[in-house]
Amino acid sequence: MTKPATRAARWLRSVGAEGMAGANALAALVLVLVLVVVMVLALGGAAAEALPSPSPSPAPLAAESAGKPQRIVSLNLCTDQLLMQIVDHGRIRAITALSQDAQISGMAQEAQKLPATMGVAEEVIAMRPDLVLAGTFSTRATVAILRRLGYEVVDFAPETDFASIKANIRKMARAVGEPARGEAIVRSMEAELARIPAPPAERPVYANYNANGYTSGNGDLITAVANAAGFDMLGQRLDLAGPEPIALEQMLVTRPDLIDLGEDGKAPTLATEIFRHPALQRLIRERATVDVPAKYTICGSPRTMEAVHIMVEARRRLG
Amino acid sequence: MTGLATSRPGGQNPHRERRRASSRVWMTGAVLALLVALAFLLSLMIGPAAVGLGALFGQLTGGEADTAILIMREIRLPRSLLALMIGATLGISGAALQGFLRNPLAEPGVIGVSAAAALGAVIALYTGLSTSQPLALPAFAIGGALAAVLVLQVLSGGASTLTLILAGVAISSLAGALTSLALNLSPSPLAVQEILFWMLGSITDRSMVHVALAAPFIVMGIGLLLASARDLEALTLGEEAASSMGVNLNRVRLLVVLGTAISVGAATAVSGVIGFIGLVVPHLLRPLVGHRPALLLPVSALGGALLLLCADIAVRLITPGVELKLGVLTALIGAPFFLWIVLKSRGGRMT
Repeated sequence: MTKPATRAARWLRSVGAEGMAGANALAALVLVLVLVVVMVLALGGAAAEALPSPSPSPAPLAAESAGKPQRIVSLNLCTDQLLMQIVDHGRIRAITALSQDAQISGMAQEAQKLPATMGVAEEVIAMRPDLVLAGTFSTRATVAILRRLGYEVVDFAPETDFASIKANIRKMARAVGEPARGEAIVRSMEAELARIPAPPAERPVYANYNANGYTSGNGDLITAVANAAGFDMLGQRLDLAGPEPIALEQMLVTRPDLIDLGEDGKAPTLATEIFRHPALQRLIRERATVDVPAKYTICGSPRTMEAVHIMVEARRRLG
Repeated sequence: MTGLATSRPGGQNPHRERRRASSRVWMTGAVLALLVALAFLLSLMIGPAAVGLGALFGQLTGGEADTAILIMREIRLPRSLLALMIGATLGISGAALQGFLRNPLAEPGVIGVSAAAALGAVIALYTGLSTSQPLALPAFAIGGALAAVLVLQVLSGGASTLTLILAGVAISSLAGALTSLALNLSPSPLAVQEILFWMLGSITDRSMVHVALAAPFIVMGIGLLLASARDLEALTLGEEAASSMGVNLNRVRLLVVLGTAISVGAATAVSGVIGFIGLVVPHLLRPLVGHRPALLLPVSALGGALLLLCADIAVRLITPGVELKLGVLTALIGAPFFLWIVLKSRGGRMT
């Protein structure tokens, strides 16, 4: 390793004969050394990775007919959670690292016991999956490559209400070869929803207020959750199409019955500074508050029922 | 502020020409002050809750009137106060820098003082320092601004317009890059979006806490700048002439450097970088005050306040809901103006 490096330095010195001072030669030597080290590391890393031979892809295409997929890779936070609730974890080859983050994942504990992937194509291929699950809006480039290489990829649209949660559960259950288990999960969810006590004629208004002043509106899962728990959503009353920022003034004028301030992030930002605005703080002291953790409503799954129960309990406290 | 306009040194000169000029200065000041007051009131009246507010005041019953008062006192008043103070800061510091550096393009935004102040604020805010020690926010911003002014002074001391602008561009780009870097490295995913706030400025939904944080420094800085007004007037004749007239150059330098750094630093700490106000306002007002720096400073403070109040009203009206950043609007006005000054000075006539 040193030998070619010193030779290179000597060569460099000879090239720069008169102009190059000792310091420059030393710098060149260091540069060459660094290059050599990087190359050695790269080669070693590649060897350790032990990629499978690029022979025509394994048996993914035949998977469905041959039996239930056994090496499932999920590339989306939401498909991760549905998958974990439907199949035995031994059949899961990998889920996304996002699912292991307790702030955004309703199943972080379970996820931490499973291998995680960053969702890069070569990483996924190295896992030789027999089924890949993806979200319709995420990792599109990866999915395109996988499809071109002949892997079985099933897409799932984001869940926006309970109907789409049920549809995705059934779709997932079919894809992994567990239709009966999917049906059972759907039925128990329906039973849970049916047990929710009826709301009063005058429905109370719920508003979430997140970083940068965003509140949810029509077509958001949290709206479906609030409605199921017997609330009207502020964003519905304002006819917002999805999450939109609303001015603090609007919050103060509409005075929702139940307010859910978003969580502070891991580090200081201006986005959440609005939570500490004196005017908002005063409104919060005068109205009821609730904390529906985002991890239950980012993705729709049976775990979303946790959010419904939290809000039903908040409605009971409102009286 | 207007009080100082009376202490002009020309009082002992009874020429009719002078008197006519001085009455025009008074008119300018009075009209500007009136417009600022109107814009301030208008700014209190305009907001997303505007529709309901008239009705709320009409009813004045229980909780709803409370809400109207709360909105006025806790949301719109701080916003209007900030527009007033920050606009005044930018206007007067532009006028002072142009006089002190004898350079028509000097302005806190253009020469990188604001960008450096923003960098200081970003460091204080995103390291969490300002959560435990609120004063760290203005202090770091003032530190950044001070560093920029000092570097500029060293780089462009007595040199051409071009050197100053180049130095300013360098400081601006470096401070902007470091601000972006700091926000990119922040563990919060939301921080990256806030690059926009720091580069283009906004005073939406700020509170009295911000006013209390910035106001003392802004008042102090503006005071220092006003104190330099008389000496700046002598400086228009050149440094040698000024010092032969008994002007202490070191004192002027100290006043302008500290005054700019303290007021612009504190302003930027709560609003982000708002450009071009310090450039446009003194240029527009200079002919109206007979090209006299001593009068230009207080008048520019009024003009800056007026322009920023109007810009802040405009962002609320143009795109309600998702408000434009203030710096977008001031740049739309200011950048063409900047080009115009460049073109004019290319013809050999510097203002």
